[in-house]
Amino acid sequence: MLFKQIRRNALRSRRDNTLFFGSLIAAVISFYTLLSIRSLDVMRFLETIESDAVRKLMTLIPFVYVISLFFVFFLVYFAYRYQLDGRSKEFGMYMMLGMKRSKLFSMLMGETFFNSIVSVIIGIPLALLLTELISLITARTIGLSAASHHVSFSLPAVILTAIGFAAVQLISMLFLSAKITRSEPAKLISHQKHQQQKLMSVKRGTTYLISGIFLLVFCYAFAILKMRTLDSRVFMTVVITGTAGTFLLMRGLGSLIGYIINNKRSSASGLYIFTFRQIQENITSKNCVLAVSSLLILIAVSCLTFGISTAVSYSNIYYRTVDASVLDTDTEKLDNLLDTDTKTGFISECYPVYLSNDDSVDLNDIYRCLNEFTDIDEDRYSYYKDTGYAYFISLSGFNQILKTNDKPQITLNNDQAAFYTSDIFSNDTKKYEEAFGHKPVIKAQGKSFELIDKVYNENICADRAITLIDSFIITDEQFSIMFPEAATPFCCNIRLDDDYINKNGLMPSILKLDDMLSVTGLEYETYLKGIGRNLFYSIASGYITIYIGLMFLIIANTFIGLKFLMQQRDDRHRYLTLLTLGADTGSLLKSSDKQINLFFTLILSISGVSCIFAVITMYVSFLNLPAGVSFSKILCICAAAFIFTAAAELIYLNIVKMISRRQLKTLSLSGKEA
Amino acid sequence: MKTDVILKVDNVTKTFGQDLSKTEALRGISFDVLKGEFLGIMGASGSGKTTLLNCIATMTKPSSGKILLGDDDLTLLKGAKLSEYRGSRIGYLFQDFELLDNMTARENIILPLSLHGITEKQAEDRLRELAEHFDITDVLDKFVSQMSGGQKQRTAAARALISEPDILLMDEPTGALDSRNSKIVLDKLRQMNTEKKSSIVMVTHDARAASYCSRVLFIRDGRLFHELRRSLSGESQDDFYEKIITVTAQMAGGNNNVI
Repeated sequence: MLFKQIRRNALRSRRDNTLFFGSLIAAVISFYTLLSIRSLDVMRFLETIESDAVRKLMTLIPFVYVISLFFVFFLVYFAYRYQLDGRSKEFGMYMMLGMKRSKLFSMLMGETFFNSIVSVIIGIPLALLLTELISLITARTIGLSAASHHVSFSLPAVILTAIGFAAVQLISMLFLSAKITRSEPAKLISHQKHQQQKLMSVKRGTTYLISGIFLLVFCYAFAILKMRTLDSRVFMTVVITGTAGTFLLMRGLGSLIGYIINNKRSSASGLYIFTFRQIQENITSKNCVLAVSSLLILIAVSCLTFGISTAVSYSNIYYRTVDASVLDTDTEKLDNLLDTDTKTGFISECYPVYLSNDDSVDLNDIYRCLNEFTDIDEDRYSYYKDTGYAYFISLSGFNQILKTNDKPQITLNNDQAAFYTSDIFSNDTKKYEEAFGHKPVIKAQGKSFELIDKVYNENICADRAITLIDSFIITDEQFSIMFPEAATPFCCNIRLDDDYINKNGLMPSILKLDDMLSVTGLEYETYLKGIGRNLFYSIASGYITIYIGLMFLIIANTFIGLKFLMQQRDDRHRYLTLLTLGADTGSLLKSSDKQINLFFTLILSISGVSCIFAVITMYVSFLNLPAGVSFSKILCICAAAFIFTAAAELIYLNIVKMISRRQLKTLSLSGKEA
Repeated sequence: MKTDVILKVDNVTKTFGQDLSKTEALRGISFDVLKGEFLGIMGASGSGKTTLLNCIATMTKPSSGKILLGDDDLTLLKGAKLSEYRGSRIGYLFQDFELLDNMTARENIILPLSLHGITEKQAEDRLRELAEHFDITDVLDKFVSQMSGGQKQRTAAARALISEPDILLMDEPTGALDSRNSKIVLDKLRQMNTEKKSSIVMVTHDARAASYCSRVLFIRDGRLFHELRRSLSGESQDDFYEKIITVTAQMAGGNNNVI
């Protein structure tokens, strides 16, 4: 009997709370997606060659999972409280009919458990589909062949998802049902759903509003101007003023709506005043919940932008220029290797790169140009004034790098040099190029070289540990004159045949090359072990940040949606009064739609403005644009993150509208009959 | 319909449920309300008085019979016409006021007009007149939670009358008020009735409230059981009250032959 009742109540609860139930399923999907990351094809592959990197990532996953559970706990607690408040009278009646407190407690826990099972049963297959899709896309992106694909089902991930999810729900319900079963039946039966109208004087409201706007403007300006110092005090100031500003603004927003109502009142007709008063009440009575939701959306969009940008930017930096670099001077072994394999269509290019250094170079003219023609902070280039240390790269080797990457080659005469830097995070590349347009001259070993106005930063070898901050590319002729002792190359770069890679996949092809090189005893580095490792870390951190962003987005939207629907359910009597006064159902539906649009717009516009400033702050401070990544590309990424968020908001908005309409359509005046 | 009849209730029945759970709330009730009349409807709990009022207010449809307001049969109204009727041709005063507590008194009063496309500016004179009559000018810009019970009900009365309805329907209008506030509200309503010739139908089980009426209908088990008229020739309110008490007591005692 009790089980039947539990099953029936659980079904009703799912039907009545579609939004919340949908969010629970989304939470199950995201939990599994996170926990099953190890079973993705790309991870399986990386584990075979980079077990250390994968192990480090895996130690991070439980931490992220626990944080997700922590936030989901609040969502679940809030949503269950809303549901149980609506059933207060029912619980009071059960108790009056003689139901023991323990039985009521068991019933509530049973319902929760039942709903958890249903969510997991629906969520896991959907999550499996999603992870399969992610697995296939990522494998294809990094060049794993389809033949190596494995189904990404992970039993431990299923178990952990189910346990974590059920635990969060049961703990929330434990607190709530304990509170309900301790209450007196009379209190439960006469439960007043509707809270008294919270009033705030216009003066107070305006003060909150102005203080909020002031703090937010201060926060935006301070963040953009000072965040680049990466000082913890600056960070704390931004967090405190931003949070306080959002809370105050939300608190004072009600008075702004009141002002609009007062201005429009004498000429308003229909449900205009009612609609705005509803919004005002919604915002005034739950300004804290809304401020938190607004901040969560801000965090979500920031995480999404950061994650996507990190992944895209880094993959741009760590793009493949060479597949392996042999650093050994024993070229005979390499020649033997090439003789046997070049013909097979496996290796397409192998070329030497010559590099040397000089410690008596006159760099003063570069200093002068940068000082005179750019606004770059002097600390960034002042070493050109005092040091005479610089590297030189011979042109032919570097042009080979450009050629194999389908980039235009450099043409230099013997009196010219091109500037090269591995300082790829510098935002100043364009400024350098502008300064070099004024043709600064460097002098080395009695010879002058005029710089061309283009800065280069392609990786010169597969080993990412080798970086050259300031180097100059000069013609081979000049290089051999200046450095006659550098007869052997710095390294020999190997590039695999594109057709072979297309056929066999990038990763397996490089692994094959690695196997071949390892038996020769040569000192070498492959793309996979050098740059590929960094790429893995970058994409992994991007993946996790995006995941956290999505979690926050789900939580914030469910909060906002539930908040609105709770209020509407509590205001049922108001809608009935309106029907009595002559409003038709159509106008009530229109008013409700307008309320939802305005309610979401107000909250989202606050977080939207903050998001724009947060993204700008990120890019002008710690998230420097890598050279070669155009700002327009990053803008497109940010726009994509915004569009994705907007699409998610639109989906939530329509779900809330659908539920709200369903609630209103059930209103009937005959239901008022005594 | 005779010109002085504003409302005609003709053989109205209302049945809830089916088969075994069938309940006949109204079993063929007929009466007229004259223009400018203050009619009371009394009866014990479950007698059908609120169902009758809800049928007139179009909150529920009768199972059979006709309800004519002027020449319109309210039982046939649907959609836009039904919405037009509510709030413009009838005013409704609830026991628990049913004011929208997130709106000011002014906004509440104007609401029925707003719903029918009339702005506050256009109804300014009427609003001022009603506010003065019900003595609520000072609380017009206050929210419901800032008003006393009496002020709330007077605001609700002003809202019910703002659109100058053909008839005002009241369901236990003093049920949530103390005797002092009840008296104030009923005095104001009677004044409205006598001075402006407003037609009022009030459902109540309070004999004191019913004594304000010019005629009282008693309902028992869904049928019209008895009728009392206040004599035009100087019958005092107290005398009428005594008569009501007598009928009520006889009804409570199960007497089928009252007077």
